[in-house]
Amino acid sequence: MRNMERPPLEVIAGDRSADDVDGLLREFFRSEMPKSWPELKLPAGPGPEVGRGLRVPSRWLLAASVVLLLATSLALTASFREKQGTAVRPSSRSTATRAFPLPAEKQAGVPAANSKQ
Amino acid sequence: MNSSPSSPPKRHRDFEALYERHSREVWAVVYARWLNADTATDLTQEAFFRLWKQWENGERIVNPRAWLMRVTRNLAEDHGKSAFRRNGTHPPQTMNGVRSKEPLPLDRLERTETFAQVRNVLGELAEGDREILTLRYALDYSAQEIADVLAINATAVHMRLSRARQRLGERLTAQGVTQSV
Repeated sequence: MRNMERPPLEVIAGDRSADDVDGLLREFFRSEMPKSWPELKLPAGPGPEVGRGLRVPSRWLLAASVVLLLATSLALTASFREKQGTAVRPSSRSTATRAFPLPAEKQAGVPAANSKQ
Repeated sequence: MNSSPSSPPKRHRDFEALYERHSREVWAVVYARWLNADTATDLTQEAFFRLWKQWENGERIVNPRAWLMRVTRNLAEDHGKSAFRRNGTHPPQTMNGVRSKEPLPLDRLERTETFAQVRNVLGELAEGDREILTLRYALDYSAQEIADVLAINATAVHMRLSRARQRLGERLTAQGVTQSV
């Protein structure tokens, strides 16, 4: 019956010199690791049940901020349009007349002096 | 392990257990990237600090190991960008070759020289090779354990480890560190 169990990784590597490489690598990496494993350092601070009040997940705060921003911009846009509408309507004709006044002869229907007939 | 917040003392204990279980492999992944033990230690602490902040914010992390690996790799890459700003083109591991002014005993000197050569050769390998070699030889992980960390299957681990080891062995032999493989 075929043995399905895989041999150790060192045997797969081959001959005695492979053991040397394995031993060297193991020694090297072990020398690199901290001699005593560093302790876990967590920030000191009050837990959530001590004086923090309502805890809201950050994603909800982000969503609320986006909604508030949109609502504010819409409100400002609407307000601006209102003010622009009331400001433009009464003076629109007078502005056009002042911007592009017709010469007196054209206003009276008199042809210009240089025009050929 | 399904990480979910609980009462603070229990949360601390759960987190310490998580740290005990995964901190070494996180360290190994960073070490494989930078070949610098201090950098690996610092970034390991940072990765677990970020996970702790997630717990404090009430975030549920279904697979903390995968989360840690992802964050660790991002931290290692970001460290590279900041290291470039600090050191220019000299990677941090070149500082490992700086020698003390005190004379060393001969055997220690030889060992230091050999390890410096091993580190240089490891630096020439692909990061994937270094990762798998670190997990195997630093932590004595089995093929299945390595497969779990790297999210690949055990057969792929055997194949990649064999090739990485062969590449490393050839280069060490070329430099006279070991006999021919």
